[in-house]
Amino acid sequence: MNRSDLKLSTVVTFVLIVLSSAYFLESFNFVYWQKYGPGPGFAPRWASLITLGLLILCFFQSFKGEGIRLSETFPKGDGRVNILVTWASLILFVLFSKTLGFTVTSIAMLTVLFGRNMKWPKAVLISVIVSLCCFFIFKSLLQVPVPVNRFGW
Amino acid sequence: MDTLFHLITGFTNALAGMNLLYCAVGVVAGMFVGILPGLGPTAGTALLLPITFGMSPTEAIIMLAGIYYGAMYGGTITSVLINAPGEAASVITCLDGYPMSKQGRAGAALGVAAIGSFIGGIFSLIGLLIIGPLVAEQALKFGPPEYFCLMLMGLTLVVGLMGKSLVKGLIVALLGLMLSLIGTDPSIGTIRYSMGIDNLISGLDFVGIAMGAFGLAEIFESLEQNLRAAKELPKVSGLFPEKEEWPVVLKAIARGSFLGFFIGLIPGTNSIIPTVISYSYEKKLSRHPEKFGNGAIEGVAGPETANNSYCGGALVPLFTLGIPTSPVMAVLIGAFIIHGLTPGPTLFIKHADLVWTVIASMFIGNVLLVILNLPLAKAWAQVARIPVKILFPIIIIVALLGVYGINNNMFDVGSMIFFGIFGYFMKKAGFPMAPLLLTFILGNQLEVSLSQSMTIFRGDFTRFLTRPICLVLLSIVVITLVASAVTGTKRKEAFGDKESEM
Repeated sequence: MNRSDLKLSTVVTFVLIVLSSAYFLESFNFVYWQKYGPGPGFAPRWASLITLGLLILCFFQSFKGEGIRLSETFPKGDGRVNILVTWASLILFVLFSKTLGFTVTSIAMLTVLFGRNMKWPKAVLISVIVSLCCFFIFKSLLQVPVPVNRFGW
Repeated sequence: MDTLFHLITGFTNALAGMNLLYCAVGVVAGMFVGILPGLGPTAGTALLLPITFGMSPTEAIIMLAGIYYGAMYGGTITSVLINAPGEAASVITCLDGYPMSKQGRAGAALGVAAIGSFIGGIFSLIGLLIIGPLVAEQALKFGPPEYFCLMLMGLTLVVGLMGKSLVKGLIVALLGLMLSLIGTDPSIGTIRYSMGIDNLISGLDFVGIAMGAFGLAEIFESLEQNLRAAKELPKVSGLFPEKEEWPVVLKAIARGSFLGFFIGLIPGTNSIIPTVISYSYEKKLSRHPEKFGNGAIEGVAGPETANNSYCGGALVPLFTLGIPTSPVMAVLIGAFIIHGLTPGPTLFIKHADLVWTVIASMFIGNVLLVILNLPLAKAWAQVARIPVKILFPIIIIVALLGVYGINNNMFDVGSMIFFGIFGYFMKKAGFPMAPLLLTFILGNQLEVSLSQSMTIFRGDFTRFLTRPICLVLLSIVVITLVASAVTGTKRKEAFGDKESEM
């Protein structure tokens, strides 16, 4: 079987098998049974064991029948770019919002996202307005904590 | 008499100050969510959950419930006017609503949908206030073993009735349970699976998972489809059906109300099931079945009534047993927990004020929705013209800020993004995500009630079978699993997989 024939569900199931195995092995570090009832290791051990069994079944089932192939996971063209740009901007938000503050990071992130569908000056303008509105609504109106830089924005 | 007194108190509270405002904000936000393609009630409630953090529990639940049933109304407008259901429960409405619109009868279609939704909504709320206290009273007699079996039954029904594959549903449900076990164990305080990360000591946050797996994942899917905004809208005039159509419409509404409410009581169902059943039932009973698909007014009235009536029915297991029957209910249960409340039988006793205020606010919300819908249908449909490429980045920013605000840290933001991407791939691989949220939210209670039961039984599992209620509930678990394994393929063909996420 070459890589293009591989189904997404086969890969997902395989990854989940690896993770569940690690979870199962880790469960042996917790007490399984106490004097009268189950200990902290009881539920994790059984949950991961049953999951592993079902995942192995699912793994073999994934070779049969229909399903999205790995090569078809992402759409082509604009759809693919939309997704990848959105993911990248989300990761950048996580990385920089603590140091640069919400306002700056949000303006940059929104400019990138809007910039794909409109002219840059307009994208920047809307990003600034949206970011400032969100900042005001969350920080001042709803009094929800917002990531800020050392200047407080 | 007690019920009437509580209800009057509930109305007094619901009409007071901020409660009324949040009810209005909730239904308007719900209408937006319902109208916008690519966002369903689950994603809507999950994404807007953080906005309620600064509110009192009553205000928060009023607003989230408003979003839920508001979304049910909203989806209808785009189904009728542009043949694009805003949420999955309105798919059936397209079949006759859009042909009516093409015949110049968009107003009548929207009118009967609004009237039916209103009557269905009110009917189910009356059902909730009659059945709710009775069920809660009985549920108070349940001990930990009965509760454990009840939760197990609820989860099994959800897994068994949803999605294409029973195996995949079970896997996702167990993954949710495994995620819920991360953090400090409730019996002796052992820290499990924290991997040295401080943020994991108290466990993963429900909001991050809900917003990621449902909100973000749904947005990613929509971005991929390159959704376009609606360009033209048909004319909306004459909001009522013809005189001779009223008997047919009213009968369809009556049947839809019953159907929706009772299906709502069953865990694992979703709002599409009553709409599909109502539509087929109306078609079967009609003297002119050939009109269905070409603009039969009862084909709009019945399903629209059923989907709104379903909402009230689905609240019964949530309020009385603390069992979420669908992902939207799981988000609502999460909201209860975040605001320090435990849904279940004691809710009617310990927080009677809240329950009755929320129920009363739903009556008010339904009235508001009729007022918003009937004269303003065309204005609402304009929302569908907002390009999603502009709207989604704004929703993403609001979600990021909201999830950051829970614990004032980036870890929750990271976990939301992780679960968003995880949910995107899982859905593509054919795994339904609804069971993940349900087991995650119930995981802790499941473990505690199992632990308490085993202590009562001195470690003997077989003693579950000696308690009649447990025996009945466990039998339902077994029957559901066997039946869903046998009938899985047929159901898959009838309903598809999309409905599983409602």
